[in-house]
Amino acid sequence: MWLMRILEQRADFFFWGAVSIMWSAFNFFFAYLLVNNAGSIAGWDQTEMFVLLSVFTMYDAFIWSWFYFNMRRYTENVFNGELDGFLVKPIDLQFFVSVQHNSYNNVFRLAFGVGMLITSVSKLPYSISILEWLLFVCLFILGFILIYSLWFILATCSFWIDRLNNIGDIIPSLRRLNQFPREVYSGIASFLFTGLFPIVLVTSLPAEVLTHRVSLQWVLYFTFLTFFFLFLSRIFFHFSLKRYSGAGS
Amino acid sequence: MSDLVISINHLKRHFKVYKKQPGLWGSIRSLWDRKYEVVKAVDDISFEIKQGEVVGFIGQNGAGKTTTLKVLSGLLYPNSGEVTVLGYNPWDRKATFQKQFALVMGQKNQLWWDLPPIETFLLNKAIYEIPDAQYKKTLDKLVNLLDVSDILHIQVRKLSLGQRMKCELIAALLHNPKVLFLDEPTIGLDVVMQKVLRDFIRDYNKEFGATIILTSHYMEDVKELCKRAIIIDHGHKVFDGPLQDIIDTYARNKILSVTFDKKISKVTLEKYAEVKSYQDHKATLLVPRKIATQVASSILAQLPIEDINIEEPPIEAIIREVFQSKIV
Repeated sequence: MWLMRILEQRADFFFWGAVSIMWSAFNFFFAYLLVNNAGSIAGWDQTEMFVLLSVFTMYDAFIWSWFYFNMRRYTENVFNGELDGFLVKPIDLQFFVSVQHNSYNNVFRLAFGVGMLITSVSKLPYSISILEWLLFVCLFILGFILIYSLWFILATCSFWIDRLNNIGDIIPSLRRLNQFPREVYSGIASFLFTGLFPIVLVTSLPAEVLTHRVSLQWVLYFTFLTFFFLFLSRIFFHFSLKRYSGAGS
Repeated sequence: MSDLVISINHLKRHFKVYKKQPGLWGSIRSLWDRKYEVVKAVDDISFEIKQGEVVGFIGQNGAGKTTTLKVLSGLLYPNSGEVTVLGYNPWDRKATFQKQFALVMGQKNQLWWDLPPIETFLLNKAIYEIPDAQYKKTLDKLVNLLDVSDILHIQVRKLSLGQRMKCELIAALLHNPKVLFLDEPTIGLDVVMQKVLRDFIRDYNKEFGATIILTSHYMEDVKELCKRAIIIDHGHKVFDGPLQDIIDTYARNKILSVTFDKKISKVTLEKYAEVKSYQDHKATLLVPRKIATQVASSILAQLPIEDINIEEPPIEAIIREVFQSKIV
């Protein structure tokens, strides 16, 4: 439905595409400057950094397409009482509020990310096996689920505290963390963002598969936490629904 | 098999609301000191509704009508009490239950604003898993009944309020619900469109035997559609019964409209009853119900009467007076 709506306004669609590609191109440019001056970033050379940034670009395009507007709308729905319309429908409510408003403006950025990934991987001094590509795709999807779960849990807090408009901005504001490999982070940042809430692993682990660095322990840990947070998001959502008060009629 | 469709027992739904102190200082102070108040939107309400009944839910703004409908639809979780609709606990929100009822709120819409209504209908077809043949048959029927075939492919944002409301009803009824909760479905519509929707609701009730709860501020809706009315005030049920019984229960007076052959002074008339309106040859008197016939006989015998009528007060007036605690 939203795709049809967006295509009705094609000028906006193409403009967004151009701007989002520009953002991504600058990311690669800054990484190029950094690596050129420092030699590498935490042991990642320019090609490997470009692989990581390609994964980040694809991940970022996905979350802007499917999460950002939905989570914003979801918190507004709770505050404005617009959840009424969803609650009466015979459909999984969490799914419905999570897919109500998708933006496809980032399809250009996604294509740019895929293109950069293919280019960067082709420059690596070794080839990637089908099994590695499969693991890459699985970890990419798991990362997507993890970010969704964490974001949804935060957005669900709007049942408990009125008018939490900015709560949906916490995860996007942390996405800069995904532009660097996990080895960059140490101390409390490492504990928080690779241990407790492994946001950094979302882009780092898939890139590690392609750059032959990944370890099984991290993959298992990441998989476990992803499903744990997905489960938690459902439990918390259904528990919080009891607090829904709608809005005045 | 019982034909009981809706059952509410001692339902309570309270809200905790923040009361802001006025002015800038009130806003600053609210950062560390907030006062909350418990609003008893629905406070110990009980009633039952049988299959096929059309019940008018009457009350002032904030009386608790919409809150009750939301609890019945599973939108709000009750603080206490038992609620069953079609044998289900609405709060369980089972798909089998949700496919059997519809909630239409005149002040909210489910149609996609930027797309034609037909797209929302198709979405609902998928959500409610309506088989193709049933969808086509129901859609054709509803479209014909409401005469909207020419607007199905026009963006919702370009439709009039009346056209939108008709499409809202279609979207809500595509799955042939057995229970309908209609919350002010005619709000904002002109009198012609109100009549169209009323006729449609009546036909739907007859054809499908649907159970309907209707809230409306237009008494015409309630009078035309509902044999039974429930009046709630400040979260409490104050009346439940046939619409006509509202008059018997709450109307203390009857209205005596009298036309005289010659001028009669107001003072003379005041000896018989309270004078509500007075002109030279005409007057309207408010007479206690129990002695209305007796007073009419006295006036007929003692004054030069051209015409006399004994009437019940209009139901709108009775309900208004009930809410203002000034029984007619």
